[in-house]
Amino acid sequence: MILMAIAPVPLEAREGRVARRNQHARAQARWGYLLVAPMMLGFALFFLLALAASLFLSFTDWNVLNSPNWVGLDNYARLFDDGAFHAALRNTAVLTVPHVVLRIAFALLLAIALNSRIRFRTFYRTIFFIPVLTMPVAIGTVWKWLYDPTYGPINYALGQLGLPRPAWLSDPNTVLIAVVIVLLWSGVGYDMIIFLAGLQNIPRDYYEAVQLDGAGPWRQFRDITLPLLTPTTFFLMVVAVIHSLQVFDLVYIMTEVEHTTSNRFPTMVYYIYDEAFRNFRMGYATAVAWVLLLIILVFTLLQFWLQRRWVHYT
Amino acid sequence: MADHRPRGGKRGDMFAHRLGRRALLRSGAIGAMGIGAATLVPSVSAARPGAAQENGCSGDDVEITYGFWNAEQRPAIEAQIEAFQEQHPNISVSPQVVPFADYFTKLQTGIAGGETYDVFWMNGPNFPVYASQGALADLSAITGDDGVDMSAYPETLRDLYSFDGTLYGMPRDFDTIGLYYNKDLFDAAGVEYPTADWTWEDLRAAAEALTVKEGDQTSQWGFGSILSAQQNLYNFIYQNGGQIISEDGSEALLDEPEACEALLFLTDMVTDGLSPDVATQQGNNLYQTLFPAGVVAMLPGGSWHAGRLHEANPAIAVAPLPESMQDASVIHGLANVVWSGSEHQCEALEFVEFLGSEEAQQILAETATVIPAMNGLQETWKEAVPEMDLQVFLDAVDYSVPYPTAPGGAEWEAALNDVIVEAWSGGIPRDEICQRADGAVTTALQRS
Repeated sequence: MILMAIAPVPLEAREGRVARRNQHARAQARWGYLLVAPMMLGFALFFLLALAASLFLSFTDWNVLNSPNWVGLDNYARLFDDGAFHAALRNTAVLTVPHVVLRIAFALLLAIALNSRIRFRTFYRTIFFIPVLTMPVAIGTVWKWLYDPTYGPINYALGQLGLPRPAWLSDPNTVLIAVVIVLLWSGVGYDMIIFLAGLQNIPRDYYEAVQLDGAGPWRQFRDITLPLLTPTTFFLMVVAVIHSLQVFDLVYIMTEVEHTTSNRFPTMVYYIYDEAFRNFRMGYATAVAWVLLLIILVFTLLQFWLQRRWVHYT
Repeated sequence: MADHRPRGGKRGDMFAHRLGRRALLRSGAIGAMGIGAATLVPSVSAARPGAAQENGCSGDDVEITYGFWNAEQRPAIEAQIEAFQEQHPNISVSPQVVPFADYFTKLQTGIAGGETYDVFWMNGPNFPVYASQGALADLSAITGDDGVDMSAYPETLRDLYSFDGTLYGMPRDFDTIGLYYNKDLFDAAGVEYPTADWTWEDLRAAAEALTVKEGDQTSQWGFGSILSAQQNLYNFIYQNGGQIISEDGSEALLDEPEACEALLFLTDMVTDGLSPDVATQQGNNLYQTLFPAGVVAMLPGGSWHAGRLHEANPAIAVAPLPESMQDASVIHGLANVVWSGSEHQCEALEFVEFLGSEEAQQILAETATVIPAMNGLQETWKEAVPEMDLQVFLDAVDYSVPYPTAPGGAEWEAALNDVIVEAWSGGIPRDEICQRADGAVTTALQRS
């Protein structure tokens, strides 16, 4: 191939070859499209179509059984004076900041600790990763019991120490902390693994080079590790923000009150579920879902824009 | 969808002479009026011109599904199915349990998707939603002269499952509310057992005497102010001569003094520390854990808990609810309904006809599963747990008030629960609770 490319070839012949090569490329492209067609068909049917349908439904009063009636922007206008929506929005917002910051911080610390040559390293890595593989419903059920104000082990321990025993999942002052703790417990392992991969991608020579210059562990961490981990951190931050905005299963399991459908910490997605599948206001619920999508989009774009200021790609 | 009567033939409205749904709500609103099993109107059996083709189903082998939400009742339901299949060997019935929390979500989405149970349980609050959408089959083909004699069923329940004068639900069971109490805890505290003459003051005094604190921790609560409105708040409101929602279901009446007083009476029980608070109730079903375990002394509850509570703790007894102005107990009952979109509607109706028969009702009674809806079988149910004075629940029928329902469904009830949960957590000043509850329920009623 290379030889042919540099050998002097008459112009006509070269043109013929280019044409043949184009033909070949086209045939290859055809095959490519054919092979991805089943996947694209599924994508179109189950994602694009569903997306378009939900956008349409958000302008209707569809209640699942009746045929949808066009109501224009009514559903979106309603969001402005819907107190329950505002509460869900507020809960989601106050959850996002501590969740993202603490998750990244803990995951990074864990990854650095488990990247060093300590005994039982693989064992620890496995332990911290196990919650990621556990079903959220099981996690919520167990933690709900751990948090039980009267009979849970957490408050039992606090009581033994003479400390106050909060109504973790019920008191508005503690429910945020309680939910964030469980989110961290169940999510940190995933971020830790990604950080570990990031750490192992940093060439050892960099460290050796600065060590020769007399840099201590802190300098190495600040000037080598942190900057070179910024692409990983950026990815994890984007994912963590999206996760935070989509919290549902934990609050569905942990903060609903027995015998009622009242929830002590309704989030955006919980509210969508409540409106869509309990009150059967599918049209309104899809409007909320689109607003959530827009919020996610805005925050993700914002992060992509901000990354120019702090993310270093080698 | 148009024809809900597969056996053909036009039928007159056999319930034309019966009280309508609104009249029922009105009677409930006036207060305890002696509606229920004790007062029956004679059934008006209209002529059934098309009734000649009895058993007009195809006779092919078909399978129908039966959806319900209480797994504890499965043995009795399987016994019913077995008895049915002996008579109809070509129809096999597959029981399908879905937990209550997901039941109506699954049902409604199933109906929307064109695939749900042929026969399923229905409750009062949700019935109007399904009946008004045309999702339920008319039962007139299986009632009357050679079907189920509906006069054997309490009028309250027939009314509950009629919509615009047509019966869509075959009454299955009914339940009333009583005051369960733990005799051991009363004995230990030297407090006399609750009696039929108890007033709210007696209840409050006993709750105070039975509450035990260790430092700032409560180790025993005198009363369980349960967050299930059907088993707690509604009864107290009706006893005080109040109402929850207006008879046409357009507005709340919780800001009226009678209803408000009841709401605050129970609120005080919680905020004064005589009852488990919201946080404790949030993760503990009092009927399953704290009450049988002996940490709550008194707990209002439905008749369907009786068998299980007795099994869990034999010291548990039952008394009538204490009263304020009058006796009142919320009555509610489930029904079996047929999906109007069912492919095997004829067979499904056959099954519901059987479920409405004395044979099927007898099975519910003998197994102490629930109080069967059919008149005359209640004694059998009572005998199933002779150690408990279950007559309390049957007596309550005489002063029972129907479960409040609104045409738009049960969303208003969720709104009420939201306010109660907030108020009982101390999040609403005491003098604003009634107004807030009233406003939230009215908003929900007008929205749905």
